[in-house]
Order: sequence, then structure tokens, then C-alpha cells
Amino acid sequence: MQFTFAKQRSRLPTAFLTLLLFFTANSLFACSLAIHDWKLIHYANFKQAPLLTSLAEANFIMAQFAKESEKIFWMTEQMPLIPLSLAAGKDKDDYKHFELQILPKESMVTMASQLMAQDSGEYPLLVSSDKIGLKLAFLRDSNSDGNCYQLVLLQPSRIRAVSPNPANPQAHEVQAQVWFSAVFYLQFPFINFMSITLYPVKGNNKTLLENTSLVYQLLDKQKIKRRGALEFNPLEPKFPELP
Amino acid sequence: MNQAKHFLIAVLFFIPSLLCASDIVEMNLENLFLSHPLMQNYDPLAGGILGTKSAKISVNELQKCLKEETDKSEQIKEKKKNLLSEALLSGTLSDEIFFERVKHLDAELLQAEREIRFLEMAIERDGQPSSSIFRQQITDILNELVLPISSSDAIRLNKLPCFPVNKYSSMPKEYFYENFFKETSESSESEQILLEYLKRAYEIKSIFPSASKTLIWRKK
Repeated sequence: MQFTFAKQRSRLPTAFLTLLLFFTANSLFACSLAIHDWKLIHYANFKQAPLLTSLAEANFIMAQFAKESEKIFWMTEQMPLIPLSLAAGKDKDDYKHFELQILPKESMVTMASQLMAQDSGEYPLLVSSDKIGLKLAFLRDSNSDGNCYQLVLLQPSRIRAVSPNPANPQAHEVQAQVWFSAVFYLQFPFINFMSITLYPVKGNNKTLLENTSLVYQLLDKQKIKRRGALEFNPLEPKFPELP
Repeated sequence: MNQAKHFLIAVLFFIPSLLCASDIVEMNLENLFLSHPLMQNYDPLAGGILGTKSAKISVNELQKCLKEETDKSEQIKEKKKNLLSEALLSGTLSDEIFFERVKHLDAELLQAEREIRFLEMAIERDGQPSSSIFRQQITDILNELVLPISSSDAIRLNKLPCFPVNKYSSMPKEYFYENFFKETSESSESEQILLEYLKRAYEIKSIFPSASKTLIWRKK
């Protein structure tokens, strides 16, 4: 999704972005080959956290309001650390072009009411995100003699949106979540990434990296456990439910 | 009521022997399963449990229910539209109250749409509800039977069927399906594997009678 920032523009964490683009270039299918038995070894749950990406907002807007206005008023107190258009991946052409305007957080009902009263013929979609948390989990695979690990960043949030078009008013609220998962194999002193996955991108998991050759090597050496062909569901998260 | 009593007695009679066992638990899951009150209403011909959501229903009745659900769904949509128009025009409601009402109506609408999909699918199948409903019932019954005497570190070893399994068998095919292929998808390939296995299972049981026992193994 391509957003044009009308009032503010966030700073890009360049190193992370370079890393992300590098991973995007290597999408293969590998981790469906191995079966992991994840045990939670470190876990932190922050009730309040900065917004990492606006992927959840993009996913919500595309799912519920794709046919509504192309102008969005995002009523937020903070900008995401990673801009949406870049994190969404390579398929920019599939996304609708939205013009995004950042506004201070205030009552959405009042704002919608004012826009309706103006009756300008143009009714921007009002979007807000709050209750933004962050869960960090570090898991170890019991099927790999403790050498295979997974790092999970999960960001829950509450997203609300109102379309104040008098002909067809809309409003929805969702409990959204964005997660990033990196699975790697530790061969001291090296860290070898097996897969990196991001959710949601167009409502699905987006595999940013799957290192097939590494997975085959580890399977051949019986360092990780082979997965039965019938057990894999690509739509499910690759980690157990976090507390 | 009597059936329920018999089931309770069967469970109570069965538990002490399990508590005494240290590593491996054997159980006649088949008998216990068949004595469950819900299974008394099992219809082998239709492949569902009478009086529950898995039972076959007449298409006329389903169409009547579909119309009711569709009307209900339209009413909820209208209600939401009115709420949005009134609340957004007046602007007097707080965000919390407004979105609480929106969420409530969205949940009602979602439920109505689920019911509509369920009824449409049942009509397409000539009144036969989705097999996933029956499979879920079987899984629930098995969990009800096994969970009280099992634990997260236990492994249940499944028994083989004591008789050939076919369409008219007294035991539902789904019982075996869930037991043997818990992890599999609902692909036709899995179904084929299951049927192939069940075909041979009867012969195996005849040669090795002890293979018909169900075991629960507690991992140390």
C-alpha cells in the first residue's frame, strides 16, 4: 500500500530497511520441511509500546474499507517506526493508492459528525490505533538439541475506523496484531537464518526469507526433525500462542 | 436419563484402575465411547447424531431457517446503518459507547452470516450438515472421555477397530478418522489412506488380538 504523508514524514531506520529489502529478495519454501517443538525460554510483555509498522492498519483498511474514500485521516499520537509502503513488500501495484493525513488524536465521532455536517462531497476515512503493546518471545526448538531458535515480535493493537459518508456510513473496530518471526540455527559462533516471516501482508503471512539449502543440510545431518507432508498449514503462525 | 446414569457408572468404575496405573493406561475406549449419551442417538445411515447439529434435516426446513436468518441479517444491517447515521449526525455519543454498540452489532451480524453459510451448505448437500460438525462432536466426546484421565504428558495409543468399518457400521468412520489422523488435513488423499488402513486393520486385529486395546502412556 502506498501512503503519501501530507503533514509528517517519519525517519527511516536505514539499517533495518536494508536488511528487510535484502531478505525480501530471497523468498523460497523451506521451513515447511522441518517440524519444530517450540519451548518458550524468554518472554516479555509490554502493555505500552511504540508503533512498529502500520501493516495492521493497512490490512484492516483493505479488508473493510477498500471501496471507501482514498483519503485517510489517521488520528494518532505517534508515527510507525517503519513506513508502511516499504514494509508491505514488492507488490505495490496490487495496493490502492491512499493519501494519508496525520491528525492529532481526538473523538472520532465528533470529527465524523463535523465532516458530515460540512457536506463537502468528499468524506475521508478516519482511522485510529491505540492500546499498542509489544510481546517479545524467544523460543527454543526441542527437536533440534536446543540449537534452533525463534525470535518473535508480536504487536497487538486496537484499530478503529469510521467512514462518515452520509449515503453509506461505516464503522468498525478490530483487535489487530502484527508479528515478525525469525527462525535461526545456532552453529557457534555463526547464526544461520532458516526463515523470516511477517504478518499481515494482504491478510497473509509474508515469507521474507526461507533458506532451503540450510534446511536440507540440517535435515540430512538429522540436526532438525523432518515434517510429515500432511501436517503443514502455511496460514498458521509458526510459533505457539503467547501468554 | 438412564443412559446418562450408565455412562457415569461406566466412567466411575473405570477411573480407579487408571489412577493405579503408573506408566501405561489401557482403556476400552470403544465401549466407553458407545455408552456416551450422545452416541445413543447416533444414526449410522445418515452419519450424524439425531437431535444435534450433525443430524440430517429436511431441505424445506433448512430453506425456512435460511429465510429467517437472511431476514435477521438484513435487520441487523439496517439497525447498524441507523445507529451510524444517528450517532454520526448528532455527534453526541462518546467514542467508547459508539464503538461498543458497533462491535455488538458486528458480532451479531457475523453470527447470522455464519448460520447462513452453514444452512446454504446443508441445502447443497441435500440436508446433510458438513462432516466437520460431526467430526467435532466426535472429538469433543473423545476429549470428554479421555481428558479426565489423561494429561499433557500422556500419549494415548489407539486401538484398531474390532470389526470391518463400512457405511453401515455401528461405529462412525469419523471416530477412526480423528483417532488415527489427528494432524492431517481434510484432503481426499487422507480419506483414502484412512479407508485403506481400516480395510486392513480388521485382518491385523484377527491375527494380533491385543492390538485392539487402547493405551494411554504417561511419559516420564
